Amino acid sequence: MTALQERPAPAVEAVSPVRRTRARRMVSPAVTARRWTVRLASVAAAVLLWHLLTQRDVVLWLRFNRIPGPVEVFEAFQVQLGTSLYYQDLAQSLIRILSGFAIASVLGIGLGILLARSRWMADIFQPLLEIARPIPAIALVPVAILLFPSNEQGIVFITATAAFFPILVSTRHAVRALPTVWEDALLTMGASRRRVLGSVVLPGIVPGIFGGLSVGMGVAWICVISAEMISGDFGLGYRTWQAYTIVDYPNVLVGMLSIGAIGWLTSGCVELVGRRLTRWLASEQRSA
Amino acid sequence: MTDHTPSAVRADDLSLGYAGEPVVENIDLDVAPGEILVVLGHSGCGKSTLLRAIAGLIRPITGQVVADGRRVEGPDADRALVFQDDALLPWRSARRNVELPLAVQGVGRAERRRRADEWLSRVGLSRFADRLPGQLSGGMRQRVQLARALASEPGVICMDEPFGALDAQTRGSMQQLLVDAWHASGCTIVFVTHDVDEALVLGDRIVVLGRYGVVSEHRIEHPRDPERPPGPDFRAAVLEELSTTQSLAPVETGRAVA
Repeated sequence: MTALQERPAPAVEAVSPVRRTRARRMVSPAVTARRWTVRLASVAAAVLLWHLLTQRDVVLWLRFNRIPGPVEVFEAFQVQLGTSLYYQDLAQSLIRILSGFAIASVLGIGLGILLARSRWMADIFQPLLEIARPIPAIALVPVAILLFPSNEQGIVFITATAAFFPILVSTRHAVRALPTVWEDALLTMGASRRRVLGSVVLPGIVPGIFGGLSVGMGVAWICVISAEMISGDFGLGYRTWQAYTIVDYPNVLVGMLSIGAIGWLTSGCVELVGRRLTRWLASEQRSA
Repeated sequence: MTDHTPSAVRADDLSLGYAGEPVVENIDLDVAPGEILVVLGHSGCGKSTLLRAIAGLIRPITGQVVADGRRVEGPDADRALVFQDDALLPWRSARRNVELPLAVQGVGRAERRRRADEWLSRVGLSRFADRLPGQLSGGMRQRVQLARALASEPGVICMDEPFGALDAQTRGSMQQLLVDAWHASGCTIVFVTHDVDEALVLGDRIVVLGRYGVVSEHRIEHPRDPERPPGPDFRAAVLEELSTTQSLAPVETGRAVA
């Protein structure tokens, strides 16, 4: 019952992939500082250009004389940040997108797995989904208004529909692409179907579905804003459109910038979670 | 280690294949409890398919597999399967991979960990328990797979060319490790390979498999005895039988049966 002695040679081989990825991250501070300087300068230059174009009322076919400049927008933004209405709109949009996205994730991943693993389910649902898929979610606004008792539910429905398809499709592909050897290994341990699902399928498809989740979050955001513009009574999209209708152009841009910031934040969160959950992938990318 | 009764495996007039297309036919096989039976054959002769049938992953076209006195109807924790490579779950550490069959059996967390660590130390990987499979060498991954198969103390372990992807030196030490582990556990091993020398080093018996069943059977007089290895005549006889199967093997090999 003695253990075989550990041979040093494979240990070195085993360590190298980890080292390699860490080494790549270890960039010198000087390089980091330079890169950040370039990035900030790029943004500053864009703002300056915006300022000059609007300040001098430049009309070069594009009519910058009608666009508010960065100073005006900054002032309007400051005013907005002092109102409770702004935060209410922000929260409203966030709740809508997060609930829509959550519904889409659960349904998309669940149905995607079912479709990939059950021929019956595929035959029942596939035709319906193929018919519904080409319809842009935003075209469902009239149906949503008719179907749901409140605007709120309609907007969440549209958001969820938009995010649903990319998530569904990526899940289905990810399940189909799973190596059968993992499932076979679990089965020969006497595992049930449910155990295979939990121990192989769900963790195995994570890298594959995160692409779909990212895309889903993107379209969900587009749709929540559009839906709010059409039928909302709160939210960033509604407020932005309302500012336009009352000729309050600086606040149109405040709305746009807010939308951009929150959109960046939400997709950043998806990416962060994805990277955390797929950390093991880095160890798989061994020297080819 | 707790004791367990080794179970024997029998194949009765077994025909196997995919989608009703037979890959290999008329296999009659008897594996004695506690022995290492090596199934030797060219790639594509259906030896992997035979293992999958013993493991219960595929249903026979005709005939039956009997394990422990019962007809095999599906996979069972008592018949483990060790694959050639990449059968470890890459998102689980070595330890958590070894724990997996124990978790399936409902063994408690602390006990699971204790037994996994014990097996990892037996295959010499204590220091690497927290590594992911991707951070281990091919030989180390196969050692983890071996520990995983042994941890649940199955009666039968089916091994599908488990050392086929390793270099000669690692392969030699893995074979020794397997023999040690087998001594300790007392399980029955059905070992599939296309390598005659591997068969001679490991087996109690060697069975040469062809497209139409078992071609010949060779009992090794002093199994796994480095002092008295099978002689050149014995080796030549096995090779001779093996060569007769080649002409019978289907040309379009390397398909799903590799």
